Parts: sequence; C-alpha cells; structure tokens
Amino acid sequence: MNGQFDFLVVGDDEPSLAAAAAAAKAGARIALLFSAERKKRAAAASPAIANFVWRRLDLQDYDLTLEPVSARITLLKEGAPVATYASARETSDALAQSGSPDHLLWRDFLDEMTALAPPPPYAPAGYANSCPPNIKAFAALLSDPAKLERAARVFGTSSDLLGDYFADERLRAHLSAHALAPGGWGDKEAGSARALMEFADPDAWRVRASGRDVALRAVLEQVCQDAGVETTHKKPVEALVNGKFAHVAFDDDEKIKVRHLFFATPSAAQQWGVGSGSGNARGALGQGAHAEFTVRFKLSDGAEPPLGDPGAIFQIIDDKSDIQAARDAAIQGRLCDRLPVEFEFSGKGEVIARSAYFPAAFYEDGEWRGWTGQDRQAAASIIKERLSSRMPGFASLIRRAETELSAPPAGASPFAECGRVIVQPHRHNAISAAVRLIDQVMAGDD
Amino acid sequence: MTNPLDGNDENKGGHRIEGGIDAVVIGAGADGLAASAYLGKAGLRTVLVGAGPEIGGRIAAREIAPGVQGVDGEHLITILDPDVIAELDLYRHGVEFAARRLDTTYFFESGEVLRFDGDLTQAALLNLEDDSDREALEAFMGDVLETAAFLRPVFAGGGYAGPGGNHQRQLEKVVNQAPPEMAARVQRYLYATAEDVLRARFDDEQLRTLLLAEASFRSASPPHEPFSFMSLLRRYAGEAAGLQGAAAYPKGGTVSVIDALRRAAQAAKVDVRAATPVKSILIEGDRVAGVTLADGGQLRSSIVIAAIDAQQAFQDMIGPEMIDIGLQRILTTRRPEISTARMQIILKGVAQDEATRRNMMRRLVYAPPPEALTKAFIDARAGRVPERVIVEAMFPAALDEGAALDKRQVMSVMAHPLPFDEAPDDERREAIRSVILDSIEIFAAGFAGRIEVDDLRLASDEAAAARASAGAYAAKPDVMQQWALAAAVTKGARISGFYFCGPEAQIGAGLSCASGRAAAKAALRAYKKGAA
Repeated sequence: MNGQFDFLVVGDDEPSLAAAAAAAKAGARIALLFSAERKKRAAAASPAIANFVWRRLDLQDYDLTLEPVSARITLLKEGAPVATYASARETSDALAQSGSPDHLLWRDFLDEMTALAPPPPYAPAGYANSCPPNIKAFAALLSDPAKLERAARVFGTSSDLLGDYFADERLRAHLSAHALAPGGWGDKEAGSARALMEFADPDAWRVRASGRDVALRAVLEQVCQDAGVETTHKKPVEALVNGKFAHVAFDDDEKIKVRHLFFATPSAAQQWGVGSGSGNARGALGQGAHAEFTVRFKLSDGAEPPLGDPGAIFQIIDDKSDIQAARDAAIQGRLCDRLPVEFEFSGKGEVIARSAYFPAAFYEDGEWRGWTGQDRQAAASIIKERLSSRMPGFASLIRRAETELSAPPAGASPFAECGRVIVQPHRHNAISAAVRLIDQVMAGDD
Repeated sequence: MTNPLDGNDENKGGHRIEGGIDAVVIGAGADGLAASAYLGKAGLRTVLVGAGPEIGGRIAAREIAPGVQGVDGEHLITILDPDVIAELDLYRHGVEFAARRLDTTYFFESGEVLRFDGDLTQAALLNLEDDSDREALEAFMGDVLETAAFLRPVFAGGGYAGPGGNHQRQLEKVVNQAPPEMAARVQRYLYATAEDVLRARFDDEQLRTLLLAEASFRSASPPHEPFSFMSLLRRYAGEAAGLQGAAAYPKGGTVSVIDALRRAAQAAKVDVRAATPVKSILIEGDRVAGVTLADGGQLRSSIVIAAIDAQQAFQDMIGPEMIDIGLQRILTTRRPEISTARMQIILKGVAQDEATRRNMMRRLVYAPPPEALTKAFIDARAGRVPERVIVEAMFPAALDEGAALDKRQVMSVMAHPLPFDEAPDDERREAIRSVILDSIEIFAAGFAGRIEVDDLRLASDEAAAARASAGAYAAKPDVMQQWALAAAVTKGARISGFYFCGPEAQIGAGLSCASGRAAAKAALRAYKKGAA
C-alpha cells in the first residue's frame, strides 16, 4: 500500500467497513487498517442497514439476508422481564398484557422521538473539525423559542424526557437500559436524551445475518474489496500533519499520505488511544471514561434463554438508578457494583455479554493506571455473576470464556500528534451514521 | 360593623383601585430596580412593588454578628451589564469600584499555587515556569475571550429583542456574519465538555485544574458533560465586555449596586413600594391589566414586568391555564439538584505584614483536583455533601477601607458544588459548613482556630429572604437548558403587555441586570408603538 488516500479508515467492524466501502464507491481513495489481532468469531447483532446504505453498497448482489433481533428485553431484579418489539402494535399489546399503564402512549412516544430527532443542528465535538460549519442553524436555534425548546429536550437528560412520557417505572428502566447502556451514558447527564431518539430509529434495531449464514462483516469486506479499498494489517507508528495531509508511517517504514483518519466507532478509536478515550481522559457521552468489555461464554448444551427467546437482546439492570450509578463509577475510574450488562445468544452455543460501563483506566490512591490481567478477571467475574443472577445455573454451563477489551493501550498513541482525526461517537444507528459522516466530510473537502 | 368609608389603616389599601399608572414592576431585586428605572426614565409613571420590607431581593446588608454588617447574595461583580451602568448612570448614583480586575491566586491540593493576573488577556503574567504552557494559555485565552465576546449578545437579556430591533433578525445577522473560523469555533465549543476542550489544549495539570474549576463554578453542569465548556465562556463574557473586569468589588459591597439602582429608580420618579406583596396579575382578554395586591387593592396598568421567580409569576400570579404548555412543562419538571453556598466568616486578628495584606487583596480560589471535582458533582447530584468543593474567597476590608473592623476581619466565601435542599436541616447545614471550612483549611492552614463567627447562607435562605421559590436560586443548568428556559419564560405567556425578567431569564450566575434592561426595552418599544 502506497501513495495518497482521502481516508485511512481504522477498524474492521461493520460501521467502519460500510463507511470505507461507501466512500470508495463514491470515488474516494480509501485505505483500511485492520487490527493485527483480528480473530474469527461468531458475529454479534449489528445495527440495521438503512435503505440508502443498502443501495449505495449494492448489497442485493451479495446474497445477504438479515433478520431483525426478536425483541429488546430487560431483566430487572424484581418482577417479570419487560420487552419491546420492532412492531409498535406488538409492543403496545405486550405492555397492556403486563399491566403497564403506558401501553397507549407507546406509538406516540415513537412518533415524537422520530420527530424530535432532527439531523443535529451542529456536529458533536468528535468531528466538528471536519464538518462544514452550520452556524446558520445555530442562529435559527437561538432565535426561535420553539426550536430552542426542542433542542433543550433533545440535548437534555433521558431521565427528564422519559419522565415526561411514562408513569411506569419498569418501562422507564427498560428504555433507559436499552437506549443508554450500549454507549455507556447516564440517564441524568445532559445530552443523554438524544440516545433515546436514536434508539427509536428503525435503523437502530439490530439485525443478524441469517439464511446461509453469510456474516454481514464478511459481505462488507467483499464490498470493500470490490470497491477498490486497499487494506492493511501493518502497525502504524506515527502520524504527523503536514498541510492538508497526515503522513502515516508504518512499522516497516512504509508511508502513506491521507487527508483524514476516520474512526467509525469510539471503540475502534479507543483501541488506538484516540479521541477523548485516550489515557485516563474522561469525556463526552461515554466515549471518554469508558471501556467496553466483552465476554464470550462458550456453553455446554442446555442454556435456556430468558423468556425462551434466543433471538432477543437482553439487558440486566436491577432498577433505573443503576444506569447513572454505573456511568458515575466509570468516570471515576472504578468498577460498578451493580453493573448493567447486555447479552445475546449467538446461535453457536455462545452467549456474548458486554458492558460499556467499565472505566477506561482505574483511579486508585490518587493515581490513574491501566487495565491489568486481574482487572480483566474481575470484570469477567462480575459479568458472569450478573448473568447467573438472571439465569440460575448459568455458571455451571460455561465451558470457556474469552474476553475482549476496548480500552486505550499502554504507551503513546501513534495518532496522538495528528489533528486530522475524525471519531464518531457511539451511535445506535452506527452503520448509516458512519456512511453519512464520511459523506459529510467528503462534501466538506469538495 | 365596620364602615368601609372610615378610612382606618387596615382598610386604607384594601380594595382600592389605583389608576393612572403606566407600568407596574413586581420584584424589588436588581433586575426589578433596573427595569423600573428604565421605564421611569422614559417618562412612564412606574410603580415598583416588592413583597419584603427591604429593597434588594437576595442582595442585602445584614448584621451577621453583633456590630458586623455583611452583604448577602453576590460578593463580587463579574457580569454586571456595562450598558446598564452607562444608561442608568450608575456611577453618578453611587457605584464606585474599590477594586477591578481582581488578581486571583489558585490553590491546589498539592499545596502549589498559581497566580493569575486580573487581566485575562495578559495570561503571560501567570507564574508559569514552562514557556509552552504560558503560550498555550495565552492562545487559549485569546480564543476564549474572542468567542465569549462574540456570544455576549446571546448570553444577555433572555429572549427579548435587543435595543432598536428584532432580536431574531439581529442575532441571525450577527451569527451569520461570523467569519468561518469563528463559526467553526462556536460549533466546536457549543456541545463540548470542559474536560475535553481543556485536555486537548493543555498538558499542564494545574492549568486544566484551575480552568475546570472556573468552568464549573456556580454551574449545575459538571465538567464532564456536554455544554459545560460554554459555562466558562459565559463566565468570561463579563470580561469580554471590557468594562467590569473578570471580578470587581464595589465600595460598600454589592449592596451598593442595589443602592445605586434604587437611586436611579427614584431619580426616574419610580414609585418604590416595599412590603407590598402581589397576589395575582390581572389579565383581561389577552392583555395584562395590572396587578391585584395581597391586601385586595389593584394597580391598573397596561404594562407589568415580573422580576420575580417564574414559579411565582406564572404558576401563582398568572395561573397555569394562561401559559404555554412548553413553559408549563419546563416549570413543573425542573428539579434543581446543585447549589452554591455563601459563607461569611469573622476571623480574629488582622494581617500584620505587607505580604499577607497584599495576598488578601486577591481573589483566592481553591481548585480541587479534577477527580475530586467530578466526585463532588456526582455526590451533590445524589444529595450527598461532597468531600471537596471549589471555594472562592475574598476579604472585603482588604479592598475597601470602609469595611475594616477593629482587630477582626471578614472573609467572604462562595462554595460549589453542593446539594440543593428546599428545607435543609441542621445536620445538613453542619455538614456543608464542615466541608467549606475543610476546603479553606487546605490553603489557609490553621485558619479554623481564628474563626470567631461564621454565617452560612444556603440557596434556600436566599430564596426565603427574597420571598422567592426555593429552586429559583439553585445553580443554573447547562447553557442549552438555560437558553431554552430563558426563551420560554420571556415568550411563554404570550400576554400582551407582560414581560418577565426573573432569575430564570438570566443566563449564568451573578449580578447582571441585563434581563431587567431587556424586558424594559421590550416594554418601551411596545409602548411607543401603542401596543401596550
């Protein structure tokens, strides 16, 4: 790989691959950097692919079949699980059946979330440098009380917004868990309401590959290859900005020139110590303080999913207060006692469990320190206990557990001195958002 | 049987209808005084009514110990609107600054100290050893003050139109004409967290720590949450106005500004009536028609300006049926969690040496480590008293000889963040008192042994003194919520002739008077057009 590129896309998750492929198909020259430690694993559910992305990437030519996850289910400490479904009617019916007083409000809630979620009037901090300024939208926002009130709701707290709609504490806890936990947000922090709006977006409903079991990631890699994306597994050692380009040097002395470094997810960025996730930085909306920790439990036969539904995405929280408490613990650099945990059944005898509420670094005795092997063991143990609390006997079914950590590496980031870095914060509709973002940056370049 | 025509004292005001009034201003705090002075100065027959026996609202002189007068409310001037000073001629009415552009000394947990010159644009004067840090700070201050100056119209005056024009068009014009670099900067800063911005700009931990403390001070927005960097821009917008300085101390304390505003109002022939509580605002059709007083009397007027808290103005005096649903939602869902405490401490003895006296002429700030500050916000939000708080301290007598005491001195302190309580009990008060004194002890070792008396004033005490709803003096939320709240309270009633300039109309903490000015100017424009 040599020469000059418009983007170096770093990461091999679905949003990175989709953004790289879409930009390449639009005529950009793209280099794609895969992680050197890439392993072949059963895929977890990914965000849905919006129609415009499907068309841009001509996915119909790739024999890809996706099916939505069956439900979003929350396992609270007390009482029956709370479930919502892709179908508004099904959700209303389920809420009515469970005796929720809010079942009639569900459709209105979804409609209003969709209406409230405009394209942001300005870009979030992570990629402001590379987006065309949208100052006129800002002026309009401040001048019009109606717009301002809407913006205040959009950028207010999730707790206030949910309190405005629902009286049912259990439903509020369920929505908080599914909307906020994937990004590690707190329900009382400014800006968290926006996660609710994205969460209500149909593109945020997660999907899994089905049919002949062609993984979405494999398909997107193929699309990238067909679109002329150049890939590498080399290790970058330095990136310095010179004029409108960043000069990226690899460990074999090869160098390339790129206009932008593009991270489609905060996890991808964090693995390279980039964005506000670097070091012990604590920052915006779950990018900063948090590490995402995943455990893949290989099970012997007989694991029975809650509600008998192996196709759902599950969240474990004791009650609604767990969400903000976990966010507070993460930004303070400590483990949370009542950790919110998300899990799903992969279909290959695996349970994939994760939480974004781990600290990116630990604060002990007035010092910050990175993760150790003991921390990983402790984290895995907490997750195992949380799963066992909702699925009795779960621990005895575990044959093996593999862990993955998205935390900043020790030492300086090769991209630390590079200003031409774009990081997308956590998005529920990460695939379509990544494609829109890379489009936006390309438009700015033009 | 009482004859209603007897004219005894009890019935004198009762049921009396008073006409011939052009404007009634409810609330005799700083904004009410400013608004009434503007109206009176324009020739309108204006009556200012305050519920309490004193004028001044939360800023008032009070005996904090036998023979020692203190001033409640603000202890420094940081964002007083320079246009109000000029237009109401406050210097002629008695405002005199004993000290402007106060220098600040920052104290850190480590025991280290940084001295910051009062002129923020001269950041090079900071006692930083590293040239690159000094250059980074200079560049940062340049950016921040320029952006704060650009945003100043957005911070001032709630949602009302500025003088001589339509606010929306005016603002759009200013913002749309922003050079691309400024546009990009506003966009970048708008959503940003203070932590992210400062971490990206500074390697020096102490600089980050002191700027985080400045950004978070008196705001309910923690430095790790979106919009928190805007709080710093708001704080520096007073400096950006170029007149008041980052912090100034008026001779006689901040109550002297209230006195000057009262004189300005009296010079403008405003009829100032203390101890005249209002029961309701009269509305006829979609127009305001005056106010009904608690004693049953009425003041008939086609302009009413409410300079009281929004809960009282909209919910109690106007009634929920008359107000916009969005405003109702905002008023009913607000749950303040964070507050600032004020403490005045009388210390035994006076400074003996010149160096100490010079130090006492500075603004002293204890900036907790970022981790402790984050924890403080988390604790306060959860209703717990934090272990460490930001402390801003100053010695009035060091700046103003008139405040000097014999063999004693007063230290005035503001501490933040603390939990907000509507009705704090003694245990809570004692916990807050302890944490403030502990935080001061970090930079003034042995100070506790010199305390003769301390006087703690919580947000609920200030609200009670100003006869306001308890939440009115809680810490302000992030600027986005404040903009929305200010827009809602100034435009949410849609009653012709009614204007609002209570604490919710102001963006950021401090004594400003900008919203009183904006409400009065809006009322005058309507009056001149014959709409009011």
